[in-house]
Amino acid sequence: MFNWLSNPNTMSVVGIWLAAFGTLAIYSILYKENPVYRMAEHIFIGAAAGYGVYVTWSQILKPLWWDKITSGQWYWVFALVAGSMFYFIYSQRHLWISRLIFGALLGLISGTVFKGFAGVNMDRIYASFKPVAGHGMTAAQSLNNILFIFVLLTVMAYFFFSFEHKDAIRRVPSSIGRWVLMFAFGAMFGSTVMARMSLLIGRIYFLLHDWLHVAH
Amino acid sequence: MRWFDRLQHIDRRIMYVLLALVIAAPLIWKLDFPIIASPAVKGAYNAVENIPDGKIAVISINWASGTIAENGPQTEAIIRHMFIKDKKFAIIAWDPQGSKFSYDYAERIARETGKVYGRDWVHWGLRPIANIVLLIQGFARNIPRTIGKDINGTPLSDIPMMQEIKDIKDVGLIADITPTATLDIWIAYIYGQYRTPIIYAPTAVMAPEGFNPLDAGQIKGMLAGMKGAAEYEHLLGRVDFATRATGALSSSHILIIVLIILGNVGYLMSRRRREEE
Repeated sequence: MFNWLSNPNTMSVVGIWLAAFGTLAIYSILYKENPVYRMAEHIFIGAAAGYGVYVTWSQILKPLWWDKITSGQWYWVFALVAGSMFYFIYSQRHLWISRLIFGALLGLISGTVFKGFAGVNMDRIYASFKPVAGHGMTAAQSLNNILFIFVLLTVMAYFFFSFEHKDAIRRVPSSIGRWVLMFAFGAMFGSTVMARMSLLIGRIYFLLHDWLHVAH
Repeated sequence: MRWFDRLQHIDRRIMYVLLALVIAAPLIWKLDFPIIASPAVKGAYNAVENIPDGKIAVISINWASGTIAENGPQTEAIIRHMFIKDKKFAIIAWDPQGSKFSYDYAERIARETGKVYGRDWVHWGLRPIANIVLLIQGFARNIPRTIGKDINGTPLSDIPMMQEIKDIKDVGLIADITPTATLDIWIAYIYGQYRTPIIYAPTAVMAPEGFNPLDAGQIKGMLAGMKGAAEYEHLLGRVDFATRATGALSSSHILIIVLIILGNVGYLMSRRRREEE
């Protein structure tokens, strides 16, 4: 009776129809709030959470922790003890236990972040010292580097808050820096629009290509 | 309501329908725009080409179904390039859904290109994103011990292509495919310390953050969202999803620009009329 369930082609078609229904149900919010949207939203959240729990167990906890305990490396059980200490944050009486593990974690993270700061920023600071002429540079490269340095200095001037920007020497670079920042934010917002459009195109392509077979 | 007042109050549902139409039309009637690979994408392409023999690439996957339209084509293009050029790679996933998607992509492309799991590629499985900093530092020093087993539960020591892979010195490239800010972690603890080349494939919304490290030479190249994936497909000489979608991407941008202009014309006309009155 249920042999069709084991047929991969049938399940593929069913999967595509379910995905198409889910896509349309989620996009129905664009018209107005409705129960079909709510249902699809809850199904997605529930399915994603359930899948996440399963994969976390099957790909992380079981192979890297449980299998080690059951194969004789019993000391891995202490990982459970350390992990459980976080949950004492919910107990007024035993709050101090969670502080121990949080303190250890914060110390670990602080040290790591401090180390990482140099790795991220030193190269960028070094790269901001650009030549403006010589070194076989073309006029375009030279102009590009001059523009880079001009933008760098004006933006830094905008974020210089130690004294009031009263006279023109301090006010003008700061003002230019603000304009340059606006350009940058505009470009970033353009990227955001492109990202959102891409995601929408992905779903419309799925509906037209995989479901309705009308897209090339 | 006067016509220029109406321009500022177009029903959003009309705009949604218009948007759906301008996206659907190029997908149905094949409207293609020319694709020119940017220096950032060429840099990423060349970085894959230049992975030294005997070293593997590590593909870091941190995306899920929410950004599949952008990170999916990027993942597919990079994996396909590595298979075509006989570059061995390992995938590490930081998201449960990304783990499944990346495995399915690699398995499908491996079938198409005649590659074999364990010999040409391996999937290290899912690792908790909360521990990414510690895991990255651990795997830089000792890959078999930090990773332990692959996605199927097989110890790395039993996987042929992992026999000679011991630490970060055996890794020729990191490809970070992500919708979140994981790039700085790879730069901080891998490039900053070991100078292992990195390429970055973010969603378009994250792409502006990639230009600083690109300019500073901390990453070799970048695929900015779906557009970056289309440029990479162009370099591979393929027409896959990202390339097919470029027409729709351009037409949707044109519609948004037109709507912004109309809204501003309406605003300026209204303001002028108010001043006159």
